[in-house]
Amino acid sequence: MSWVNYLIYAFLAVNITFNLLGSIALHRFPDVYTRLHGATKCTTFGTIFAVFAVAAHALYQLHVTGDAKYLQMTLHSFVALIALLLTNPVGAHAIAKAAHLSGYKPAKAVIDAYEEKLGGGKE
Amino acid sequence: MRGVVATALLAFITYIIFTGSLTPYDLVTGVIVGVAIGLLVGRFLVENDAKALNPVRWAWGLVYFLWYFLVAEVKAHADVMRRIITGDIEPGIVKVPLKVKSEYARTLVANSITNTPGTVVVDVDEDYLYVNWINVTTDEPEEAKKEICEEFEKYAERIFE
Repeated sequence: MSWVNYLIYAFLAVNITFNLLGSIALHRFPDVYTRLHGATKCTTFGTIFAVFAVAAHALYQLHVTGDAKYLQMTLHSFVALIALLLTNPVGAHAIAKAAHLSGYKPAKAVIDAYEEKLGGGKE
Repeated sequence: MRGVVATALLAFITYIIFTGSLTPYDLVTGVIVGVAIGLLVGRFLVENDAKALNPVRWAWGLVYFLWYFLVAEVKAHADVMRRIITGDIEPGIVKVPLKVKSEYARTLVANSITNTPGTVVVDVDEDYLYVNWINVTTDEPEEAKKEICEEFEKYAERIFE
């Protein structure tokens, strides 16, 4: 095999590093909001590199064998990436809002403008 | 008939990517499925045909996508990685004023903010986004906006408004 393998290993290494950092963030951060940062963002960024690894493998195979199914493999993994990018933040919004409305206040927060709105506004 | 063309085009492209073939059978099926979907849901998805089919807006969308991944994400990730390791955080929820009015543009700004590490949108109302920010440097809404989402909003305006 060739340099493409090393490229794939590099992408996978970045992917694993970010997912590991996401897990560390879950343990280190004090409350649900800050943990969301680690849990959602780091895994998204990691997954981007997992998709790059798949794309690198598929494009190399396409180059070697000329089989169109590898082009399809690349396109499909990018479709998966776009779906992830659209759904992941929506899930994060939902969790954050639900947590705030059910009474989990941000720990160690220096300012909570949302609390002010809920307190003085419609509710 | 509003929105039929744009929706059908998008459905057709998605169909072709998923089947991964360009045989006449698949092309015809794709056109039938695309037009059917466009007739069914186009009027809910598109408010203005001329805007939805404007290639300049699509080009800005592509520019935004690349800029977002190569610059915004990487910069923010480097910062948050450091905070995870050092534990140096100052969390809080700040108010950020939002100028754009269309639903798509607001969704784009909110999703971009949430996808950038260090900020999660908690709620949105008519004029403000409520953003949980991992390192609060200011509680002035205008100042916070400059640091969090000014760039996102500029692109959202070019693409959707």
